[in-house]
Amino acid sequence: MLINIFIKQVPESIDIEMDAKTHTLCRESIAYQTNPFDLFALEEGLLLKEKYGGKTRVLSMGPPQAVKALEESLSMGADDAYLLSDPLFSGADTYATSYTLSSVLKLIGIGDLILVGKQATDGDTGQVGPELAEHLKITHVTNVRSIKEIINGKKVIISKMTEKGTALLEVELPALLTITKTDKEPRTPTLRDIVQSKRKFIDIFDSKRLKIDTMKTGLKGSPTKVIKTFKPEYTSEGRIFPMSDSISLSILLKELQKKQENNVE
Amino acid sequence: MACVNICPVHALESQSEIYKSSIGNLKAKGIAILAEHDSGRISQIVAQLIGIAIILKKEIHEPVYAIIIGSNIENQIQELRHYDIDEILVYKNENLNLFNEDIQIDALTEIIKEKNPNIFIGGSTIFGRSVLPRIAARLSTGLTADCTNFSVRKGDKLLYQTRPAFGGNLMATIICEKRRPQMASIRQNIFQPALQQKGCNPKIIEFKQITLPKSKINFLEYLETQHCTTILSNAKIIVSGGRGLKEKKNLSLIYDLAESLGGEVGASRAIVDAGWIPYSHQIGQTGKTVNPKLYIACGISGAIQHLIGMKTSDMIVAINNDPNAPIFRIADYGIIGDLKEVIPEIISQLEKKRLNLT
Repeated sequence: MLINIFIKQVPESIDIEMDAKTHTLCRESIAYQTNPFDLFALEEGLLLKEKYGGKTRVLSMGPPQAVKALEESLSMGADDAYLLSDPLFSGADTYATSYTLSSVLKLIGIGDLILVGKQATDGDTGQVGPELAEHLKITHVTNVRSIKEIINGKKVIISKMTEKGTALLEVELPALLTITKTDKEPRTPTLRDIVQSKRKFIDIFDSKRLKIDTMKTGLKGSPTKVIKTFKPEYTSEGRIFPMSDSISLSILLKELQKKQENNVE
Repeated sequence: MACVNICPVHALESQSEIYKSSIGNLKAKGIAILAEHDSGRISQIVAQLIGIAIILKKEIHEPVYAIIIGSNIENQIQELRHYDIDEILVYKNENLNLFNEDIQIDALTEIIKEKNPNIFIGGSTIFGRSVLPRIAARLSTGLTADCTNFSVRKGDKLLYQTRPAFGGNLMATIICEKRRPQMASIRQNIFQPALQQKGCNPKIIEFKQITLPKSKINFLEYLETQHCTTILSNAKIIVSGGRGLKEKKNLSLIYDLAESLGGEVGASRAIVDAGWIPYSHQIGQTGKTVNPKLYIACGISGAIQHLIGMKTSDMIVAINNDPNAPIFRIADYGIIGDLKEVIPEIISQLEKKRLNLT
């Protein structure tokens, strides 16, 4: 089994400031982490490798400091790491991002399974996974809760979360799966793992090495453009009261009753 | 075009691709919506999509199409006929089911290519969030996820798409200037649904010529449906419990209040991780985003990761014994008190009022 896992480095806090002119993040003094859903994807990949053998590769696109996230993945047990980094990749929307990501797999091999987190906590779009699958012309399934079994290296049995319940599906490989939070908590590396991972090589690809059409990457290659960002106002002049305040309680009960009646209709 | 001579071959191709699609712009016409459906009915999101399409139609004077594909969809087509839309674009194929999205993407893309709409919108549902990105990538166009507001620039009919990012801490307005269709998914329950009317008579256009390959996704069975019956994203009332419940057995308070109000049960990450309630109930950054008319947070302190999933609710009620809990900062009503006293009191009062009414 060759498993490719894509991860993204995201701001640790989502309480962020934007530059009003460039509509980009004010990056000073921001702490970063690996996108939480991506760690669940990585854990699934590592477990599959332990069960079926083979290799796990972890890949990311981002500025040079994204090697931190890749180092974390290596310390958790990923075999190889790749970073796609080039100023020409910056400002990419999901289309340009997925195109860029697909180009590296076209060079180094799609493998059997591609795992990505369901969505990133900064952009919240969940679009890169399916768009990447399209660029690679392979099947994808979103919202995967658990990877149950690989059958003869040809098929994978998974459970997918839907609005109505969890469904068991059989999907032909190669396939891309977007992983939601699973029951398998991502492992914590030991100090030794961390030290050893620092010695591992992270292969960095720029646009030249990727042999990529830079008309289709970064801001220039993005069909969509952000023209305005603003902070939403959530004003609450809430009525906060202790249980003993019977007047407030009765006002609240009237409101609840109204909602209850509307709900029945 | 000084660069042409020195560009590698596929860069030239991509330039001509962009050129082609911008020519396509001039001809692109119409507002298409994705009519997803389940168990013989069109989904709740469809009326909301039609509502937006009708408003956009008034601005840009282009026809509205509803696209529906599937097997045994006569009933759903009949439902769509009662909306004020111009055309229903239909593709029937008995091989289509809820899960073989790979071939549904093929069919939907063919319909879009044939019809060449200016705008194509769908729901930010599990289905929409899976198929729309893939269709957008195949058409080399942009897609804006989870939109909460639209406006349109007269003249060139450019769609201004506004969406939350960073868990709602930032709003961004996005455009797709050169490619068509302009694609977006909409957040559920934000937009006013269109109402069914009498005397609508949309034209039904059936796409018979599409042939599909065999799907690579095979549905085997449903697991744990009884636990996952909460349809939180569509719920009007949600009662959620958190760490403040202290013990698993106190979860029954949450279920009782939800039942009394006719609502669904939600949960904070803490009690999901503790194994008290399945993940499908989790609300927040690593769970579901909900937008009910009424959200009651019981024993939830209000970590930002939870607030992200529910802060756009119409009315927020918080019950917590800690007066400094951050949840009170966004609550419309907050009761400081012990859940084990407050919840039974609310239930009994509601019950009394109901009896008085009838």
